[in-house]
Amino acid sequence: MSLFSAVQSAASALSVSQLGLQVVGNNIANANTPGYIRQQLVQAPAIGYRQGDVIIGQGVRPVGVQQVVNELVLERLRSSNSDLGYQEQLEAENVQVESWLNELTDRDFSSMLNRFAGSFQEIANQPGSEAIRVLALQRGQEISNQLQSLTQSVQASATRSKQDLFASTDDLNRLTRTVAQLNQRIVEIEGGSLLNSDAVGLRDERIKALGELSTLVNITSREQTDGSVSVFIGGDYVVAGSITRQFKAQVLANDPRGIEIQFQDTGSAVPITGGRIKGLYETATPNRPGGIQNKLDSLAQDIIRVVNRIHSQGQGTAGLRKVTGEVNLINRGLPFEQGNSSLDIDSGSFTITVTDARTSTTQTVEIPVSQIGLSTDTTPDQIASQINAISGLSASWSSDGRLQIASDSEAIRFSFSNDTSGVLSAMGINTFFRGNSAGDIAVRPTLFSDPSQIATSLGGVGNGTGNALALSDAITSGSSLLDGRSLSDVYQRMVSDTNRTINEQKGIADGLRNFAQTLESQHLSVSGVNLDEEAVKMISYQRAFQATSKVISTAAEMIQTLIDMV
Amino acid sequence: MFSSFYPVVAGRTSDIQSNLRSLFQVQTSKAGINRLQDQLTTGRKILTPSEDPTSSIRIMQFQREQEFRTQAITNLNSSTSFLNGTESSLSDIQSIVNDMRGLTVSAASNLNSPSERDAIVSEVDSSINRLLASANSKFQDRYLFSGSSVSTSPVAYHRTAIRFYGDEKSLLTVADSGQTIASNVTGQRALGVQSAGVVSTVDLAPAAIPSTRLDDLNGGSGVSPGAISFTDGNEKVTIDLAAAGNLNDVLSLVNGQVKLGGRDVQLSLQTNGTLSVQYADGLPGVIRIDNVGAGYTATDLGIATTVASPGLPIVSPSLDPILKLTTKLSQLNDGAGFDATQGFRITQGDRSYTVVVGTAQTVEDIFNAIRKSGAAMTADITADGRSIQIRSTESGTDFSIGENGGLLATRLGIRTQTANTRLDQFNYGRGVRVADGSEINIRKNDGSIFSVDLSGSVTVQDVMDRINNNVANADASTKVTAQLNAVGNGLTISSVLPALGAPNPQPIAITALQGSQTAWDLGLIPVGQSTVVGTVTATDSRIVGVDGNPQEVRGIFNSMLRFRDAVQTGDSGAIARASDLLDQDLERIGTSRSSLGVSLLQIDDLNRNHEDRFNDLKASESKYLDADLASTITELNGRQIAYEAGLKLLADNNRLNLFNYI
Repeated sequence: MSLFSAVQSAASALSVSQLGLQVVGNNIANANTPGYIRQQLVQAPAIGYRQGDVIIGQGVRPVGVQQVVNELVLERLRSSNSDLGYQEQLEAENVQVESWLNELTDRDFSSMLNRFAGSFQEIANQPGSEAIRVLALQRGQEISNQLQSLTQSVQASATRSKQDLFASTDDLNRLTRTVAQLNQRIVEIEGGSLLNSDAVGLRDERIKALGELSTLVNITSREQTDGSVSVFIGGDYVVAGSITRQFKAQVLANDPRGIEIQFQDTGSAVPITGGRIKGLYETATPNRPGGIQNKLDSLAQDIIRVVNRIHSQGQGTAGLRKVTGEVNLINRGLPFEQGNSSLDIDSGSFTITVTDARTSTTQTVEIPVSQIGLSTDTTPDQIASQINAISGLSASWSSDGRLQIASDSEAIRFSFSNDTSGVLSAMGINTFFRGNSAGDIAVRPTLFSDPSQIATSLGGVGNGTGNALALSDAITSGSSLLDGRSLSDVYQRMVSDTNRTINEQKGIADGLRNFAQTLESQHLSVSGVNLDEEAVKMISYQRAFQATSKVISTAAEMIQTLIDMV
Repeated sequence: MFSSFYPVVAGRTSDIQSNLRSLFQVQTSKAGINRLQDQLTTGRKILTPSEDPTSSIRIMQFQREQEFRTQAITNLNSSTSFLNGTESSLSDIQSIVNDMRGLTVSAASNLNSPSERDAIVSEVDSSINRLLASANSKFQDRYLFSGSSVSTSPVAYHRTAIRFYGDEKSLLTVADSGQTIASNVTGQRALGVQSAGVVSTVDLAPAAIPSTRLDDLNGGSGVSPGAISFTDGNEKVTIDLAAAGNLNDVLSLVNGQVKLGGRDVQLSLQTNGTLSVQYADGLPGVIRIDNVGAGYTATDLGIATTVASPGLPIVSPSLDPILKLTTKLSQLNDGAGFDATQGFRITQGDRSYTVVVGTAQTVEDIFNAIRKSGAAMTADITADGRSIQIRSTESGTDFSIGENGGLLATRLGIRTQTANTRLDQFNYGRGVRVADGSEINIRKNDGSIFSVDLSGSVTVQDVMDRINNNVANADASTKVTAQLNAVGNGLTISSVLPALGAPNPQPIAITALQGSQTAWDLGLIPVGQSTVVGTVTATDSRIVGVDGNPQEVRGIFNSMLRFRDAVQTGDSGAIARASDLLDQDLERIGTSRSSLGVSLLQIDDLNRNHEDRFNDLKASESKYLDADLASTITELNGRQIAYEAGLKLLADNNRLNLFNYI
């Protein structure tokens, strides 16, 4: 042992204190840097040597600079970020849905339905007024327009979500490449060192990239012994060391989902179960069961079915001269249930009444419809030929398969009634609406050009109002066609379903936000910089530096004493 | 709602963590304040439905019901104005009719000079014109008394009679959920513009045919959908008939599908409209047919069996379909049909209309034939679907429905005078005046005379029997026969021509005895005369009487026209009758007005109820939807204080650390 070695070991202590101050300085400098993980200097006593019976320490040596981070918390934070990313995407969509529906105001859809019903009640109040009849058409059109514009909004938003999926695929590729590149550099720099945290800045970057990735998709990550991180989505690896798998967004034909993110190498679907991309999958497909478009379509179908079924059995203020069905029928030689199975037709019959103004005679014909599951059941062709057989009427098929019925003379008019089979509305004859979804529902244009065809009478052509009241009833009070419910009930059910879903979803999103906030807080409590702590450290390093300097000056004095002795 | 709290992590904290935490708290406070401000400015507690789905459903229901009630109030107000218009027209009509009723009293005693008659006639005429104007009054472009034919002027002169062109339908308006009220009074109800219906007096008994809808069977109660089972005791086959729409569907579903013990079971519909079940081979065996589960399908089809071994074939009773426009004449009379070639005859006033239904195939064809004949008649099927009914829409004339040489009117049950017609219905319900003792003398073809005592006769048949079965009328060569007219209505008394060389051959004749009015009332002797002598044709001698049982429309126009005619002819009996008719009219109008008043009261009640409920609904809606200002402002104050405190803490936190002290 010599005084010089004492000075030597003190010198190492001085440099460690300086290093420590540097680390403190770095922490203080980055106190407000987002994503920064606080560092600490790891120091260890230098290995001592034996001198005789004693082992003398050699001072202190810096082992390395370490990031203070709890990987477990980080992993949980990422997983909750995935969940939150998913829920926030849904939430953004839901906010739009609510504003589209615009409920609880007097411009909402339920008010429109009520006004539609009210317009039929007004017809009953003033059956002779054509202006009031036209009002019913306008109210019907208001409903159609609202459903169509809702559909357009939903579809536009779905298109945005699809575009967003393409953009998100690019993000996925960019982020996985970033992680892989960082992996490579970290491995190079650290070279498998003990602390596994030498490449401090790079690791911060990597943690940030993984965080971003986790909001997009559900990932799991595992740090390897060489310092690289392997990333998995489901069971599929996406980053291993410096190698990544790339993604592509694939447009799917004939698939309601429309678009899917796949691995570029195998073309198989990425098993996405969370993150914003899962949310985009859902918002890109509003037609899925439970989706808003699906609900709108089902509502529109109920409206079309019920209103048409009732309307098709009524008569207007004037008889019909010519009607053309709205529905294209195929396989017209086969029974309906085989050739056009999507149509809702029962066994029953409907009645055609033909009036000839020249002879002031009427001719009533009941046309039976059988749908009892036998090959002899009624076919579209049979219906056409039975109508054709009525003297004064001719029935034919348009080139696109729509039934056309026309009277042979201006003096001959016809009307329909008492359709227990539903075949008239199924073929789109004498209906109020046309179309079969929220996107294409519209008031039948013929009614606008000839409001006398609005079928508000039940007791024959004229100013009767039985059917107007039946229509109003179906909208507000209940109809056997909807198992006693009304169209307003159906709509209310849809809205309340939607509201409940949105409310539940909001609750889940809020909970997740809180949870993520808590985890973030936990993470920051470990990895964030505490200035007080840094101040304490600074003082300690300063004091250590001062003390070590004192050791050196003491050693120097002692050496001086020895020198003075000489 | 934002949760403005997340748990503090124990142990170490970092500056960035406490910054973020403070920031979060400040943001939460700020968001809360914004929300409260939204509530204050909009006045609403719930801004989007998803904030409180349960309340928003209630609110939507409240709003829906409010909108419904608003519309109902509009409907009721519209009805009120129509009913008020009707009421004022009815009040005019009532005062005119009242005046006329008064005039009948003075007219009865002032018919001496033609000028007096003319004066009364012109007064009646002008009243009729005023009544026509009132009955044709319009309110808001709607004819008040024409039923649902709101754009058709309801009454107008047709030659000397007045015809009705509207209908009898009520215009219903929605008064409340599931409740409608009529916003009109029909012309028939208030004024009497159509005759009582001549409703078929016989069961037309239509038979079911394959195209008959199941819903139309059993008098319109239909067949309950379900399955039926066939068994021979060993094997059982169940056939689901729920999808069947008509009998043909039932036949198709059963025939060829049911085999018991290897033998086909055959279901057939017979011409008389009954179903029959047996083995297709026609041989004996056991077939039992049952309802399935709690269904009644087999019972409703009339083929359910109750005994273990019913006799084959199993035959249902008549399936009793309702009468429809499309019902074929061949279906009537249990499938036997009627001979319709001769048609029938409608007499209205001085005109006769022959209803030619030679080629008629359906009930509707008969109705068309009536319409085409030109008679002012409406024909339809009664509401119960059992009978047809015919009504006159012409006031001021008599009408009758009789045969045209055939039996169709009788078969259809619409002949207005038959053998069963009661004598007390004759002469507009005043009856045939029958005194005790002999009433008429009938001279036979040999010049001999016998007396007929009609006292105690109740029906036309009794009158015919008294003549035909008279002890003095037994000899076939001089027999006088009474029967209903072959064409039109009334009685025909006829006798074969006397044999050549018979003593005192003479045409038959009828003479009323001792001023008896019976023969007048029966239509045998023209009114005012005492004897009628038969006309001689190539084969017989006959007296063709007229219809003593004419029908008419009962209503103000009929009464007025009758009154005028009575004044013109100076018939005091007819004036007295017109006076009675006008009394009935006043009663009818009075009843209409009072029921109209009840309707108006009911509308008032409904309106008040709607308004009360509307206010209740508004209040309930407000409870769920509207922000409570006091509590919102209090909460806002609290939030503001918390916000300020948060800001101060944030600032202080950042200012304070160890560096300040070293």
